[in-house]
Amino acid sequence: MSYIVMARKWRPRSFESVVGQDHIVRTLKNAIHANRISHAYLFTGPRGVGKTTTARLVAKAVNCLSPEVGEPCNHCVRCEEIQGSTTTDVIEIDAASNGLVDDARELREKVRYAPVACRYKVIIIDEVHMMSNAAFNAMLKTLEEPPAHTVFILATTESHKVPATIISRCQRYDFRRIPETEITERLAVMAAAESIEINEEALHVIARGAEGSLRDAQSLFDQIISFSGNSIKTSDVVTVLGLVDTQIFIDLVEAIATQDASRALRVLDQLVNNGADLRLFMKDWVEYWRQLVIVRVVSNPQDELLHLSGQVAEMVDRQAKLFPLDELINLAKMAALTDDELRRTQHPRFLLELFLLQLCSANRVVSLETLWRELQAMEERIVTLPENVAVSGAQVNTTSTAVSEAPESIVKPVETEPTVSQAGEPALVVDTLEEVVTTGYLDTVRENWTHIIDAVGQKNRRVQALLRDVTLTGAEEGLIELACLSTYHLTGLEKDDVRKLIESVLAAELGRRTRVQLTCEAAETPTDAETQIAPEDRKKEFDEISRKEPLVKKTLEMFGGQIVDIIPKHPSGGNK
Amino acid sequence: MPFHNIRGQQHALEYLRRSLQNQRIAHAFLFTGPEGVGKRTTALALAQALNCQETENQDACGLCNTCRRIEKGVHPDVHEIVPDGQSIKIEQIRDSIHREAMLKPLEGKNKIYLLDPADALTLEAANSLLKLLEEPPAKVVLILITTQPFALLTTIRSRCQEIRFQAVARQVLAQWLEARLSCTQAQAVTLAMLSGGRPAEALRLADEEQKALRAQVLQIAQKTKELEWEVCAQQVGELRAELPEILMFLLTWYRDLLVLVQGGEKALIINQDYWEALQQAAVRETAEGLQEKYRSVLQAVEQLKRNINVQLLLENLFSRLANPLQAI
Repeated sequence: MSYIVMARKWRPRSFESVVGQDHIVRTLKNAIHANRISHAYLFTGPRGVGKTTTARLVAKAVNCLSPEVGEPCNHCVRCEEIQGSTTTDVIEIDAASNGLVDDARELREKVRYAPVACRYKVIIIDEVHMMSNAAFNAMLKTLEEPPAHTVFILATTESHKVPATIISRCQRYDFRRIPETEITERLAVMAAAESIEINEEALHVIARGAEGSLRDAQSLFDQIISFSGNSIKTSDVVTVLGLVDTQIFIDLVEAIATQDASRALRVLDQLVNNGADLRLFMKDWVEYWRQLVIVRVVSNPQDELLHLSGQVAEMVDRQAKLFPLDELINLAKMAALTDDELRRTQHPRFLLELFLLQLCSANRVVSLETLWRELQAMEERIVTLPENVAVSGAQVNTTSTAVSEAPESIVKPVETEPTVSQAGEPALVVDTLEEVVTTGYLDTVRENWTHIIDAVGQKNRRVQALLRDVTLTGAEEGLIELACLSTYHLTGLEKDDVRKLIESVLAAELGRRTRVQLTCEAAETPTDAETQIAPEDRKKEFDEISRKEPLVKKTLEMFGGQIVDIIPKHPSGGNK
Repeated sequence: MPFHNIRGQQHALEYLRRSLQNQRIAHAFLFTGPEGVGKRTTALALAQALNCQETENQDACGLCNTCRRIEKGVHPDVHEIVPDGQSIKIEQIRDSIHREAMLKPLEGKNKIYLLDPADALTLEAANSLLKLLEEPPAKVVLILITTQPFALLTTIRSRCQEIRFQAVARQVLAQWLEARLSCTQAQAVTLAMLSGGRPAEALRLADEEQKALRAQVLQIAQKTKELEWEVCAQQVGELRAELPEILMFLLTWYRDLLVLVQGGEKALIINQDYWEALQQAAVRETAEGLQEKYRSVLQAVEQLKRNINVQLLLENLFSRLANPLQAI
């Protein structure tokens, strides 16, 4: 196989052709030209940005017989020897496989001898972060004061693993990620030289996929050439990189904005069916959320922070306006967290589905700011209301929660007591309210009722079905009363998220915030029955129920105790 | 098994075939994709194609001496490195790669190293491969296989050509299963979704034992409301089956409930054969409660990978399923 991958074939042979590291190249060239060569360098930076390459260039440049202003000539004997690695004076060591203290000692021995032919003995230690601690320490003295004519070059992607004592003895050069534009330019040069047809857009896609690493870009380019030969279309790049069409992101964000869980899942399902890699997908989607946030902040989709083309920019701008900024930031944050989890999980699909369902459910996490604004708006409304309505409205609020909690008492007897005692008084309020209800308003609500049910149905079919079986018994500004046929409907409708859903539709249809109060005809309202029980009776009843409770029974059996007193849990339940 | 005998994975195979055709075979590959979709088979096929004595259309014959020895794993130039215990250790890399890679292939064509799975490489072992992956000697091809590409060092990934293997599309798999097992469409779809697009897995799930297990698990799932959580945990513990599988069935149950409660239609449901039971159970649930429960099961599934006390795990899980809000 005479074939050599691009990254090797195109490894720069002069400082000139090192991409995107001008700050380092210039310093080194000048230092070599001025003959101010340090005895130890440390090259750090992310993968594939030119550390090893530059180290080899330095080895050539300091030994070249006819250097041109710090550049190696690439023609002299020394340059050719070093290029073909046939000299014994340039030693390249892989610290990851030779990083033990014995290797360091051996190296120290080698350093003692002067170079055979070259001017400098250059020792390149690559992946230096993998040297053992003992090996590092064995090198300290040599690194500080090596024999003349010795140059150490240490290269690593993880400088934080290199001890400070080593770093302080070296000249440190931090290699940067290479900007997309420079990667694109470099790829274009390579494509031209290899006579490969490829358009600018495709090059951009590759450059973006490389995330600032030229070697990644070259590997991808290689892969695409292997796939499609000498004429490359953008679609080939998309296939090989496994990229996802931007339309998918747009669809998903829209589904989240309209809280359409079903649609979001369908889009994901399609994605999985097409064999997309969900982890790659999420990585790109997080980037899309970032774009939304930035557009929202800078309010200019053409901003250079984004590198967006016309049509996409327009779309991003439109989608960013679907959410308030704080919510958008929150969503982006959740996306980033999910991305992180996805990398570790074995079941990416399930995790991603949970993420989508959470974003699509009625109550997303609301920021304090939004809450505050809503509170203020509410306050204003209350001030403008006539006094008596405001008061009764507030009381009704407590009633409806009390009524809704009461049926649960059948399941969890221990928790009921406080709820019931609270419900005692407000029950009266319900009666008085019924008289107050203005029939005029009730009629207007009745007229709209089918319409309201349909509107609910668009959000949730199940709730729509439940509402069809419910009769509207009363309505006034800000409150409607519904009578349920059975406890089945009651339990179905009084769940918090269902209630919120109905109330949000009511608010839209009736033009004001409206609460829902549920009553049940079949099961004689438990509030009435239980409020009449005297406290002692209730205690007795409690006693009986608790004795039947299996957990209590077991405890009694096990420890042979007896029940002395029963203290009900706090009404808020659970989160003690 | 040469390329022409491998089913599915058109994209990956097409890519390799074209690379062979253009004589542009990279020196380092990274095969990624779900378990059981043909990564290792393809890697061996590539080894055959690169060594076969009678290649035809860039593909191995599968019949010659070389091909058969590669298939049996006794060819001297094809090395498969698998974890020694939990991980692939640096000594293994030193012994079988560093020491030998510099030597010419024994039979003259190509030397192939298979690292399966590459995510089992220890940190030291992975780092020791970096220089070799970047500039290996001539006639050496390294193939790294993994289901978890993100668990690898970025420096490793950047040196390899990544080839993605895909799960089979649901409809395709369902149709295949329906014909092969002569089952109903709902069952086929369920199997296809449960298996995550992996044919071998789908067939395994179709066997009676697995079916019975799934029925038992879903039975318990339906009763989490009535039974005490200790009882549920105990019953699950008594099932005498692999816990990961039990939890996966449980996970699909809560996922379906959540999808249902949030208005998803039937096509999106995994346990389609339990459609009625799901609808009944969904009436009693809220979206937030289910999200919490779903997350609990998912967490339990992830925790299983770590060394954890199974009984504690189950009890914790079922108590959280019984009172989802207390978990907060």
